[in-house]
Order: sequence, then structure tokens, then C-alpha cells
Amino acid sequence: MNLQGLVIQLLSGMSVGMVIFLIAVGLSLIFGTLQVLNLAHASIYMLGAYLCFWISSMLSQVSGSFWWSLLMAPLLVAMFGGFLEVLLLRRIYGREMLDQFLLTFALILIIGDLCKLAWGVEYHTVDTPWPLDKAIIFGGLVFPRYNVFLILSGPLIYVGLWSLIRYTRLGSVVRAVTYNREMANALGVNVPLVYTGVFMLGCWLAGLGGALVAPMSAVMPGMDMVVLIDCFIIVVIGGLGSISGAFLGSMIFGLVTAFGILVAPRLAIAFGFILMIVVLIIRPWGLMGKPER
Amino acid sequence: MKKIVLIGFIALILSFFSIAPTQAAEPIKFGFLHTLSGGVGQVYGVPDQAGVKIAVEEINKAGGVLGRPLEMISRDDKLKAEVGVREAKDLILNQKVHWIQGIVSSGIALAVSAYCKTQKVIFIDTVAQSAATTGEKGHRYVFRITTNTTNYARSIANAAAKFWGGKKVFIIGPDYEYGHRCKKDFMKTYTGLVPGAEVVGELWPKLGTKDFTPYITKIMSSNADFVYTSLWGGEVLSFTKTAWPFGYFDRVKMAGQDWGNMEGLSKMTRKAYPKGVLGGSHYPWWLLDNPINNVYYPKFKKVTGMDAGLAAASGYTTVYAMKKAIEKAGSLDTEKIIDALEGMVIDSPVGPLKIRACDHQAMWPFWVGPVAFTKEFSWPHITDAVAMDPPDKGYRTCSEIEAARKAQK
Repeated sequence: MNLQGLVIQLLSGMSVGMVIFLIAVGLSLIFGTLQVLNLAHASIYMLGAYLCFWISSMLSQVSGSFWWSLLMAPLLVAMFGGFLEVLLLRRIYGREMLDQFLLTFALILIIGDLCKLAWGVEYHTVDTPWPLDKAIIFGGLVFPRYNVFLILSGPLIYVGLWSLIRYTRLGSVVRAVTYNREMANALGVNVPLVYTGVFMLGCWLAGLGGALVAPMSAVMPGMDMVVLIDCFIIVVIGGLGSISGAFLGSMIFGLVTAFGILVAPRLAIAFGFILMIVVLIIRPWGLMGKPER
Repeated sequence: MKKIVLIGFIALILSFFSIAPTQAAEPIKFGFLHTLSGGVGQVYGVPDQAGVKIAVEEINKAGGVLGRPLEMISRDDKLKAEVGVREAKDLILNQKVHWIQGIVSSGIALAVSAYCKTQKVIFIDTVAQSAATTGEKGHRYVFRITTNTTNYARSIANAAAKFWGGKKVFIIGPDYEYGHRCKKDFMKTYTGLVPGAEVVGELWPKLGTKDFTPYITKIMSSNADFVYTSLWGGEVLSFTKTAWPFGYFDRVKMAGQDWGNMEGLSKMTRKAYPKGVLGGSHYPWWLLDNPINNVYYPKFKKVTGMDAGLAAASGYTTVYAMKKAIEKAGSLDTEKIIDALEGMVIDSPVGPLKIRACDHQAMWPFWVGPVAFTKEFSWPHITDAVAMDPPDKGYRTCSEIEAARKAQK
């Protein structure tokens, strides 16, 4: 294996990691604030991919159709998420974990079937958009521009989210609700509104992930399940509820996958899980998470 | 006067009776059991049904079989084995069908096959591909008029040796029994054709992988002569989309059975398609030149508005095979029909097909050729295809089948 191969594999790993980061960070954010582990989060991601396909095929005559759908699909997904929160999730916050699992698991089946109903079971895809449809050739390296775009959009979203939570008034309200919801409520914060907002933000991120995957892969039923498991691995590694943890976890996950494939392909599938087990033993609350109070 | 009226009345009644039998000889019923609902139904069951209908209409127009018309009774197995067996029971016990044909899922095919064996009724598998149906689990009452999985890896190996013939083979396939068995079958045939060939690397992405980036970069940095892949279905599209911008298809040679399927390729455009990949097809109607295909293919397109896939061709062929067998047997006696089918050569849109006596498998060829765009079609398709010659080479030999059946017991 030469240096060139290593660099390419490194970039591949980052590209895998950054796509999954968008989905995992939404899951983590929602859990951090709402204390709900949304099993249907990956189905929301799938919905984003389908909507991206649908919008860009409707706008196929318009130039830059993908960019429009990249803008609109996550927003539609966020609105759908808002509906779910107000109509369904809101009713089960006080209940046991099991009820949450039942509800969100039911949503996996419902969203999956709705997608099948609306778009059929055949495979769809979206053309790679201009100007990202070419590859960057540097020395002997060939790497698609679209993957570079993915690698760059990860940190961008991360910094954006982190500053939003850290430096804005909105962010401090969210942090206050996350830290102590009763106290925040007593101080006049509209907690239900914050919950809806955070849930929608999480769904927007998942929808964005789905829309970004559409041009580089296939949109089809069942695309949610593999991603869901990967997301769980990432939030366990990084720490449930932590934005930085999701970023770190995704990066580690992507690189471990890529280099796992490079050195021991027969074990590649297992590496993510092995890493998760190691973290669970050494630091059960995750690399960037906090031990439960 | 009264008598005259009475006689006239009787004559009138008799005239009804005398007309009736010539109008409709009792039809020969057969069951068409298939997945007709859902997406699987759209891709396999519905086109198969259309092909069978065309055959039935053609035959009835030309005077039927033994002077009797054919009547097809359609049932939906809903992609569930227990529904399939229930419908098969009703078809055999209540509808008294003479044979059952169809079925896309191998699990349902095995269940229906086992039931038909107990009832001594012929079952003909026209889509399901598991080699076991006519292999390990084969019996006197089950036939298959389509390819089976054994043929894929062997035909791909045959074509890879013909087109390329390198010694360093890279393998990528889905990580379950199918993928690993394909690798074994492929290497067995390929090393027979290219002595000294070896596997220099292998990748087993988990089922449902959407992002193939690290796999693609790993393959591109290996120095293999070519890649054999058993990835199929949606993964063909995912892999192609991710690989294309890397310039993968200009730099890597790849071969895979599911990469020439019309169903999969028809979604792809010039912006990303498996350029130059050796793909396989059960029924490349655009490459075949025989009198039946030349009539059948345009007719199917005209009647249904669809392009004819594999399922439609095999359903159509099966009805004609049964016509020929019944006429040869001269009766509807199941045992005599089976004797007639064994070793019979039937006509089909893919050319003459032999139904092997030892396992009741039709020697349906599997074509392999490089995927390309031509002026003719708006989607990529295989060109310059080659098939195993004779087609028997694509299947296990009769002695291999016998050994496999013994090992089962």
C-alpha cells in the first residue's frame, strides 16, 4: 500500500463519517434535550432522501434542481418532524422508555410504508449536481468533488450547531431546558416550544443527510436500517446528547471503517462494534458525554 | 295439432343441445400462481401474467390443445409461502387444474413444489432461481423453465476468461450465503479456464450498504486484473453512483451477473452507469435473432406497453411447452405428460431449450457481455454477449445433482 492509497482511504473515511455525522448529531441532540431515543430517526433521514429525489425530479427542467431540493427537502422533513412532535411524541415524555420505543418503532414501519406507497419499491437516484460532478485530480490522486463537498459540509454544520448552542440566546435557552426543565419552565421558558424546535432541528439535520446521500447512492426502501445501527454506534462512542461527541464519534467511525477495509476486510463489519464495546467498558457515558447525574 | 307443437318444441330444445358442445369444448385449466401485488408483483408477476395470457390467446385462436381451449386461473401468493400453498390447494382440489406455473420467491416455490408432489400435480417454476428447487429438493412433479443461480457465476467466469483472462481476481459481494457461494462457483469455473488464477483480495460489505466509498478506493488501489462481484439489486445502483466520479469504470475491469439486468439498468443515464462492466441477462431480446423472439418481443411491447423481461418470456415459453407435451402424450394424464416433457426440446424466445430428464431443469442460457450505450436505446445494456456453449455447461451435471440429492438424505 503506497502513500497515495492511504491518503485516498483517509479521505474516503472522512466522507463516510461526515454523512453519518449529520444523522447522528440530530439523534444525539434530540436525546439530549427531549430525553427521547427516536428509533425512527433514520426513517426521517430516508424521507429526506426520497424528498430530495422527488423534488429534483419535479424540477428536472430547472437548472440547479438538486440545490433547490437540497434546500427544500430538509425543510419539509423538519415540518414533518414538527407534526410528529406535536401530535405524537409530546404525549409520551412522562412515560417509560418502553412506550417511547413502541411509538418510535411504529413510526419506522409507518414512514417506511408511506415511502413505499408514495415512491414505489424501485430504486431511484439523483444526478450528481454541477459543479460537483467531476473529480479532483491531484498528482495521481483522483477524488470526486462531491465527496470533498461532503467532507467540508460536516465541520461546517458542526461549527454552526456548536456556535448556535454555545453563543446565541436561543442556544442558552436550549441548554437551560436540557439541564433542568422544571427550573427553566419556572423561569418562563416555553419548554414545549423548545422541544418542538429541537426536534425539528434534529429532523432537519437527518433530512439534510438524506438529501446529501441521494446523488452518490441509491434511494430505496430499507436504506434506513443500516444507518440507524451506525448512528447508535456513533452516539455510544461519542456520548449521547453531545454535539462534539457525535462529531468525534462519526470521524472515528468513518476512519475505522475505511482503514478496517484496508487492513482486514474480513473484519471490517465488526470494527465499529468492537470500538463501541471498548468505549462501553472504559467510559460507558461515551468519549464526550457526561456521566449520568 | 298438439303433437306438431310438441315435436317442434322438442326439436327446439334439441337444437340447443346440439349447438352447445361445438361452441365450447371443456377447457383445459391450469393455475397461474404468482406474486401479483406490491413492487415484486409489478416487476415479475404482472409481466409474467401478460406473457402467459398472450400464449393462451395465441393457442386458443389456433384451435387449442387436443381440440380444447386453455383456461388460465390466476392467483396471487402475496409473497407469502402459506398463502401460496393455500392457493395451490384451492387450484388443485377445487379448480382441478392440470398444472401450476409461476412463482417468484424460492421459498414459496419450494413449499408449493412439496405440496404438488403430494398431490401428483405438475408444478413449473418460471421465475424463482434457487438451484435447490430442481437440485437437492427436486422430484418427479417439479420442473423449471428459466435459469437457476448455478448458471450465473459459471457464465460470468466463462465470459471473463473469454474477454479478459487475467490471473489476479478481486472479489466483492454481499456478506451472506449467496455472495460466498457465488465466489466459490466463480473461482471453480474460472480456475478451470485460466489455470493459476487466484483471489488477491476480497471485500464483503454488509447488506444494505449505501456508501461504498472506502470499498471503491480500496479496489482501485489494488493491482488486481479484474473484479468479480455478486452485488445485486439496489446495490448495483449505489455502487455505480459512488464509483463513477472516481473514474472507476475507466480504470477497473469488473464482472457481475446482476449488472446487465434491464430492470436495474433502465434507471441509469450517461451521467453514471457501469461502463464496460461484464453484466449478465436471462433474456437480452435486443441481441437475439430467432423467429419466435422476432414475433414475440414486438407483440409483447404492443400489447402491454412494457419491455419484455425474463419473467414474461419464461411464462410464455412454459405454456407452449405444456401444449407440446400434452399433444405428444396424447392425453391429460399427468404421468404421461411428465414422460413427454423429460428430454423434450421446446421452442422459446431465447431459442430451442432442452428440458433435462434427470432434474427437469430447462437448459436456459445466461448471456454475458460488456455494458454500453448504443444509439438504439435510452438506457445502457449488454452488447456482444456470450453464453455457455452448450448451455448445459452452465448447470450442474446430472451426476452432480444425483450426488447432491443423496447428500441431502
